[in-house]
Amino acid sequence: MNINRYDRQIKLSEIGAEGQLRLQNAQVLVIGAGGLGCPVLQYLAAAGVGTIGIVDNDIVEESNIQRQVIYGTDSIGKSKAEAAGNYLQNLNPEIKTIIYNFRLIQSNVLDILESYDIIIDCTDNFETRYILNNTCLQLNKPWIYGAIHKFEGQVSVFNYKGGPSYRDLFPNKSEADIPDCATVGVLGVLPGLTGMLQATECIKLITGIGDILSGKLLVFDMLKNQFNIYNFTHRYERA
Amino acid sequence: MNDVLHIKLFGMLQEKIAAEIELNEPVLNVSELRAVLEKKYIYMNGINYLVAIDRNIASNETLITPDSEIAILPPFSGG
Repeated sequence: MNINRYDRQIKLSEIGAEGQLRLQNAQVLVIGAGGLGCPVLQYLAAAGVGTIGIVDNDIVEESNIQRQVIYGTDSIGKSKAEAAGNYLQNLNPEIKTIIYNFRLIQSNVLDILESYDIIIDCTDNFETRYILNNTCLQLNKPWIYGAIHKFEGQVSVFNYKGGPSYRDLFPNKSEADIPDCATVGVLGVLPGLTGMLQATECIKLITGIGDILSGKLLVFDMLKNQFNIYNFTHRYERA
Repeated sequence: MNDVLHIKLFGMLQEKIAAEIELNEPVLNVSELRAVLEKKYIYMNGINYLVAIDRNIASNETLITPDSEIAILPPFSGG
């Protein structure tokens, strides 16, 4: 490991050489390399997270680039997972990236999640989120949730050391359509900020520092500059 | 009780309804609040929203007082 690369964070007494080693040994899976996934991938790779898996079956479109800032104009038409992997290798050749250039579905989720310590939800749909939640419960792995709507974001850490999960908030999918940013629009900075909060929780989980957003739903509004935390507990008994 | 309840709404509920609403109907607990809201705002029937009372996600039995800080949180999609 090139110590000089990480000098500024190793200088933090809360991180130190031990924390850096923990980052190097960590295996993190990022589901979705879009608006949330880009800042998550960028900051985790820069921080030296040793193994990063990237799941995405989309290709980069011109309308993505406004918020998915790791892709350049020359990435248009290319696989997101592969373009993200190339970007991360250039950013930090010391880390290992594993590309999953397909969609996370029920039949492949167990195999993919099994070898990772922490899962980060950067998806844009509820179907994948519920598959992710169920599988993380089954495998007893923590996952870091992020979601956005217009100028508002939500972040939480589920299933952390037996803590509550997404189903404790929303047991079932809503019948009505919940609009995504393709429908209602979004400023690029919102997924940027939300993703950075997810990456921060991930670094805290790995290094064991700070207060984790377990049993806490962070809800923020960029227009009003309001950050609120809502506490929640298990809704159901664990099996 | 006949005191006015002030309720903050989040996410798409802000566009569908308003960022903040006032309720004059007497409600004792979250279950009664849900019933009043869903009768008044049909859209709320189709979504699984959370009710937070004083910054804690509440169950249907959680009591509501005129001083309660009430927030309604719908699910957010993704990014």
